Amino acid sequence: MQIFRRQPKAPKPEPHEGHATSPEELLLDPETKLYISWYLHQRLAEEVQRAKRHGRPFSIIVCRPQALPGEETSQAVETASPHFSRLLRQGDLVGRLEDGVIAIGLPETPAAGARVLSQRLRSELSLRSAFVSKQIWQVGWASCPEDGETPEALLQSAAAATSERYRAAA
Amino acid sequence: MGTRWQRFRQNRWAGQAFGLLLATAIMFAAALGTRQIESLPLASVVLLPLLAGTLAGLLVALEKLGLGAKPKDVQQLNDLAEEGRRLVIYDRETGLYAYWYFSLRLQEEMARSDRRRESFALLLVEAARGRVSQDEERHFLACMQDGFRKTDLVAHLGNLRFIALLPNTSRDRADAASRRIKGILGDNEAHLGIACYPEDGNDWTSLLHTAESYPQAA
Repeated sequence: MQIFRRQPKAPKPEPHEGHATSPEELLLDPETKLYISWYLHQRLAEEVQRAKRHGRPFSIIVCRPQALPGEETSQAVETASPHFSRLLRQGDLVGRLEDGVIAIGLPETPAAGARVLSQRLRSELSLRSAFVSKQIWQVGWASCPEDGETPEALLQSAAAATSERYRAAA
Repeated sequence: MGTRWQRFRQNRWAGQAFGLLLATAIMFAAALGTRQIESLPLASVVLLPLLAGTLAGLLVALEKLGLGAKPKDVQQLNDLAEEGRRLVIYDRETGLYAYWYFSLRLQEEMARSDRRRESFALLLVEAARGRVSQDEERHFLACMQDGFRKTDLVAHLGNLRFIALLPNTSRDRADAASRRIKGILGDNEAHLGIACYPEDGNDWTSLLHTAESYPQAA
């Protein structure tokens, strides 16, 4: 006779959403799985230093969905983020700077290569996120040393180029 | 406002504080109404601690709702959390890169070298003697922190063993770097080993083995 009912075994608790299970995950944004802002800044600084030391080209691309002030862009970013790994090379550095801004560091890439990639990215990202949000992606690029010799200067040049080059292309 | 009121209603501390306040008021009214307590000082002795407890509960409730918190404190806490996240890539004892992070970067560097058909070097530095004094240890550590280029990655493997990844570096240049580090270390006896990728191995184990068995006459 069974006196006590056997309690079912408690299921193993699932890791909380957004909770890092390995140290590598602390470097990734939980929503997009791209590098988080401070780590991307650190890696860009290292790469710029390395490019200057060895006389190698280095470019930065900034992508952001075109949006009105106050308009939500995070959904477009989250939809497009899985496609970066397919569109970029293994050693490229992709990270989320702010809510709607994605920055890409391209080691050993001159301005011409960054230009070609940015055009490809603009069309691919707009295509991928068109079903979720009808937002067009603006993409700008900057190269070291032509547009700046620090990561901040390069990011600023690339961010400014998102609108200028978008208008020029249109 | 509605959301804040809902949060206030759901707050356990707020509920308890309000309950206590209500009970105190009823007791006070009943005691006075039935003239069981005629002297006001006696009533104060009983009721004042209850009122103090009620007020403390209310203050805690307000604090938990974030009404009493200063934005500056919250900002400081966020900064501390951010700082903690940054420290994860560093070794706690030495301030150099942690081993897990070094492994991650080593894999990236291997992929990059394969793509560009370039080489990089690993430089292993370890204390020759098992035991060193605290001053020697400090000097060793300072050499590891300042002796390399900014583009090099230096990690602590434990027990005064360090490994440095020298990107875009041939064997000759790695030899020169090794001699420079030996010069900086001065009197401290150290074993320095070099391994070059891809000549000396395609993975971490074989590269480390090569660096460990590197002839010291070189």
